Amino acid sequence: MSSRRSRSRQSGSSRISEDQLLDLVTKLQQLLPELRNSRRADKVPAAKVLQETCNYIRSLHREVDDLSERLSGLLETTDSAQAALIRSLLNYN
Amino acid sequence: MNHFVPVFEMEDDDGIPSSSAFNGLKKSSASEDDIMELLWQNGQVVVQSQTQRSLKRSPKHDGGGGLNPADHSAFKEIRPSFHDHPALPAPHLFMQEDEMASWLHYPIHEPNFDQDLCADLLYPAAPCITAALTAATGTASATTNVGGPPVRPLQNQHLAVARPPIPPPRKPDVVQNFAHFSRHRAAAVRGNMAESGPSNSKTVVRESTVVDSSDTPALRLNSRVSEAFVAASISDNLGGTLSVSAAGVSGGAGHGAMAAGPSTSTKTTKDVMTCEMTVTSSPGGSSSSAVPATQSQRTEDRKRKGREEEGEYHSEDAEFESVEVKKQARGSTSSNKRSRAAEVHNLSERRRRDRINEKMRALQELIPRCNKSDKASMLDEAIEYLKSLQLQVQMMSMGCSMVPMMFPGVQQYMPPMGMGMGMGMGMEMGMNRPMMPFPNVLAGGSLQSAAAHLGQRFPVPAFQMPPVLHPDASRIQVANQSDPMLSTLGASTLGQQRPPNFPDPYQQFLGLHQMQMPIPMPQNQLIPQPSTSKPSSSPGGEHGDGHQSGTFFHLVSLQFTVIVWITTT
Repeated sequence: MSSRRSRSRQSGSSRISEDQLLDLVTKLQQLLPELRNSRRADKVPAAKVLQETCNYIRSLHREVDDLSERLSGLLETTDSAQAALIRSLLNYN
Repeated sequence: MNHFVPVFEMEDDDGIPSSSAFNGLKKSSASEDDIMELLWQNGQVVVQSQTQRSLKRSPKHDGGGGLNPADHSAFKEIRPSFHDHPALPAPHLFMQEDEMASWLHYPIHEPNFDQDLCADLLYPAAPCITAALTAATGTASATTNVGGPPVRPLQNQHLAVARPPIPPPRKPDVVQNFAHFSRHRAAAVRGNMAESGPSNSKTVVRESTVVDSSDTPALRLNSRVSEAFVAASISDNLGGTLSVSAAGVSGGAGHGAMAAGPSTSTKTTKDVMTCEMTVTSSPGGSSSSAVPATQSQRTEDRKRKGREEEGEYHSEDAEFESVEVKKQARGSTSSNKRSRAAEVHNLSERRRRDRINEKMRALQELIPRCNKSDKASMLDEAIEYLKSLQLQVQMMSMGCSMVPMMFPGVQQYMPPMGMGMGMGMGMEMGMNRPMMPFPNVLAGGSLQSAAAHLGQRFPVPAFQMPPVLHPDASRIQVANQSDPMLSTLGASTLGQQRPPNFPDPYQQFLGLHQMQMPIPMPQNQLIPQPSTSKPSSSPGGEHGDGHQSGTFFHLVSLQFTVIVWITTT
């Protein structure tokens, strides 16, 4: 097919090969809860994986912010020693 | 092509719904209709507002001396035949055309992306131009076939020539620009050629693909035509007006040879050829007169403008020559189909790559401290960052669920919480982690003597383990159930506290810690009776101990201490 030819030709000039990229994208896909369960048969396009990664990172950021708010709220109510413990535990994550 | 490609703005595109390059790329299929419409309007506009254009052109070139008379002579020829056209709402349409042209000039100044963009945006439009100009010239050729004077085709040709380049490019590196123009020119020429017969239209289609592929260096489909063409445009670009005038002359010569070519032997096309001879001769004269313009230190802009026009004419000639070459070289339609399929595939592949690059860029913005330039390390960082984020969220949610447990009043909620955490975290995280053995936790309190000499180096046993306070068996059983889970949890969090991209202050300590982890185990075995046999220590002393050890020791021990302490408080 012409697709094979053109792809191999293009990847020759680029720094990493297409296979390497696909491997990394597959690894990335395994980390995504949305795409983790998709079978090998229905191949998720790389752009979709990357998009989902972006979404997931954003949601994780939101979650971290939310949790840190909750934690700081909770830690204010606890006594200082315990709060210091937990704070030092969580700050160095 | 990586994510360092700047995102460039195109402000003044009116009909095209794209504000950035990627939007334009993405929507290029969607905006085909718009471009089609615009260019169709262009075709009509050019036909109908020629007097306006000539009026507008003349003040622009009045410093150029020789350019002007040539143009004027050409336009003077045109005008009488043109006045029988009804004067339509030309200014408005003309404005649109101008905007379109300036928009078309825009991406040329970007060093990396212009090829993709231009090819993407223009390639779908090229057949439309062909159609439009075929329609536009169709009327004229009809009159020519009837026996009209050759002024009419000349007019068409000149219209096509004069169409795109009114606003000059702002930077001189316009190889792409010429390709661009020449594509228009090819389309226009196609418009004229298409009159001569269907065989010509076939070569026209093939021509379009070949021209387009010569734009993209990744393809290099047809070496001969594209080389000739690129060489021509480069000579136009790099050489001064002198070489340009030479090119114009050679173009005229090639044109003459082309006009003598046998394949387009229809009467109308011959008319077109002869008229084009006159056209190309007129830029030849204008170029020769543009040389004194440069010698007399005219402005760069004007020079460029003049050069650009020469380039147009010349590339047009090159186009014609290449058409001839094409016709003689390969006449089969299978190669045509194949090149078209390759072209379509190339387009889709390019779109895919552009989408991926766009997402890569978005991903890079989301990852802090990611200054990697190639995709592989970008993806690596993304994977690691994702893992660390997941871990952080788990830790924080664990912390959130921990904090309520620290209140004495909610102590009874501890076992289900511990179970839940143990199930959730231990199953998920602790699989390949160093597992802390179950007696180690429970025997923590009984290890005080052992911990006394270990304490300075190994903090966990040094922490006085508060025994399970309640003497009833069910409570003990629950604690015993939940404890291995939580110890698993503690061990797993210890083992997993290594987000590789983060500054890890206690990384070396972790190694030490895990290395020393088996040390207390035999001591655990040495003491058979774990914490249930120990007398319960007072909460105040326990708290003080915990606090002391927590401040005394490192953070990992803190973490472990907190977990263990929570299980047993």
